[in-house]
Amino acid sequence: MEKLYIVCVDDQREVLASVVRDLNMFADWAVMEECESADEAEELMEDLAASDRPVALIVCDHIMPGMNGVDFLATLAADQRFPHLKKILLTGQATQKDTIEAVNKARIDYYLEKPWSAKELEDVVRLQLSHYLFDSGRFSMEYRALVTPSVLMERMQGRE
Amino acid sequence: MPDSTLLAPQMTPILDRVVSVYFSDPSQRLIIPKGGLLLNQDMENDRLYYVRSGSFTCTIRDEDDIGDELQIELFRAEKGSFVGVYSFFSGNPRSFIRATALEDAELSWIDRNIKAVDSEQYGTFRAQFLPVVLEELSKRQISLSHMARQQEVAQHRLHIAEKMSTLGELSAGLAHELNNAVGVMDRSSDHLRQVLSRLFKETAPALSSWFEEGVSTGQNFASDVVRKRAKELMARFSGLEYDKAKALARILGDREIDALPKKLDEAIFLWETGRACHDMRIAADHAANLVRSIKQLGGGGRERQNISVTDSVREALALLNSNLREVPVELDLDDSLPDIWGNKMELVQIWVNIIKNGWDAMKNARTADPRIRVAVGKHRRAIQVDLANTGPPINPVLLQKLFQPHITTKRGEMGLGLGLYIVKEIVDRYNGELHVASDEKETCFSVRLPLLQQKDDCL
Repeated sequence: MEKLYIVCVDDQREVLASVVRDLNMFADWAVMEECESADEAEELMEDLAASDRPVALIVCDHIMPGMNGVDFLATLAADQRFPHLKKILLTGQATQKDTIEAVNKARIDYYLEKPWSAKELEDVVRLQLSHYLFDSGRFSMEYRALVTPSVLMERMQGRE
Repeated sequence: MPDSTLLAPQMTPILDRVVSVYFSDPSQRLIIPKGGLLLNQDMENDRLYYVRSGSFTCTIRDEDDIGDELQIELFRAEKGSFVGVYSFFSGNPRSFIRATALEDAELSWIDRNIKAVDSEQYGTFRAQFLPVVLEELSKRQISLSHMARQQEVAQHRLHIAEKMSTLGELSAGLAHELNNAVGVMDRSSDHLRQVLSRLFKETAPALSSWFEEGVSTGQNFASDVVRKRAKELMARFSGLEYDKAKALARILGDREIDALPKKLDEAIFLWETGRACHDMRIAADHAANLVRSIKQLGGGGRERQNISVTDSVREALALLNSNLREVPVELDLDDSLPDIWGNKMELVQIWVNIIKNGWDAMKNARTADPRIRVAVGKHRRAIQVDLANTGPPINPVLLQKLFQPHITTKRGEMGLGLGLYIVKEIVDRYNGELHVASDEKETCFSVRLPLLQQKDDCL
């Protein structure tokens, strides 16, 4: 079984560490990568794409110095190399305008507000990884314990 | 009041003639004491009055919300104005205003029996008085638009005051609650840290230093450095997995080790537990700092008095003393400048925010030759303070929105991006000006605070 990649981006080191800590339960299936800016994440994505790694999910902060999260996710949404990549925006500043922009412009898959709860983050990440596995055709029974049961049922029955 | 320069200058000789020809009969003079009534609304009037001294408020009757009568001021008749113009010339002999003396006033008058003087040269009586009427009406119109403008300004100030006081109250309440919450988290996490420290000393004495190190330093290394170092560690210690290598790289940074700890997993676990305690304390500090900036935004005393801008700059520098130890500060202060009407803490806030921002910028950019320059001087009717640093130039896009809320360049400092917004907000309150010039040589913030009189005090 090839491990999936989850890339976490937040300019605040302590926040980044907390996100990764909460995602550690997925360590059997995925490698967590941390980046402290969108620029750094962009570079990392290049490396991962070059070595053909399955980048499944990106969890990205919104307000950061340099490129902000929505703009960064928008560039990824337009990137042909990651057609199945799932995108979660993790934000402490959520106005309705921001949300609309994030959905329309960056086509994010989930919008999570700070402070987040470990359970919610876990559920969301599990769900997005599940969809990624089926969308990318990478699903195998080795991932079974990872996949959200309802998604497994739907996909096995060939329903969306 | 109407500005006399707004009136056509060529009118003056004509008016002077009219006044001296028609309004110089000592038997047609009248004294009205302060508060006395010259005209009442709807009263018959066949006189035209010229105000020699004093002034009148000219009002019309209106009703307020509950039907009570009140007087609305339409215009004021100052020295040199005419009263009774409408009833005298319009053909409707009833006064449409009430004229009440604001101070003891002396008037001259004419009535309808007056005959035109020198009509061969100056035309009929009406022709001679046309400029008088015109000027009087134009004066009233100017005064009316002036009053409307003043009212608009007053309304605007009231609006800002209301907004700020609401924000102030809200932020004070919010700050209190947040500080309580942060306090609880801070104290409780500290308690947990002590408990864990004791526990690890008992159960894992050989490894408890890993916990303590996590607590005291946290992660000092950036994520890209960690990724690079992890790969080096994997190359050096065969069999080391990527996630373990990254965990170790976070702890070690560029420090070398001869061998992996025997119980690597436990060591990492203890360090990460310690690091969590460290991060909680950092987060609590940040939260407390943010609450402080929010409080500054809305609140604090705004009482003003005559203060020296130079003193306020000195005070700011004293507050920043510990931050500025590492950087040379070049001062050009002037103690002979006039005072301004202001609040010292507000001014100190401006200087502290700008200087601290500059220092942070130089630190983050690792500026080779960091210097701060502060100059206080006079610029026309304002005190100008220049606060410059040798940090990297601010890019033009950022420069445009520098003073908007939530603009921050401070990586990972959990800044609220309110520093310069607060500065702008305070400078606005003083009707001051704020300029930034930024190039390779230096970035200079210039603040101009007008030398206001106490009565001009704005909100």
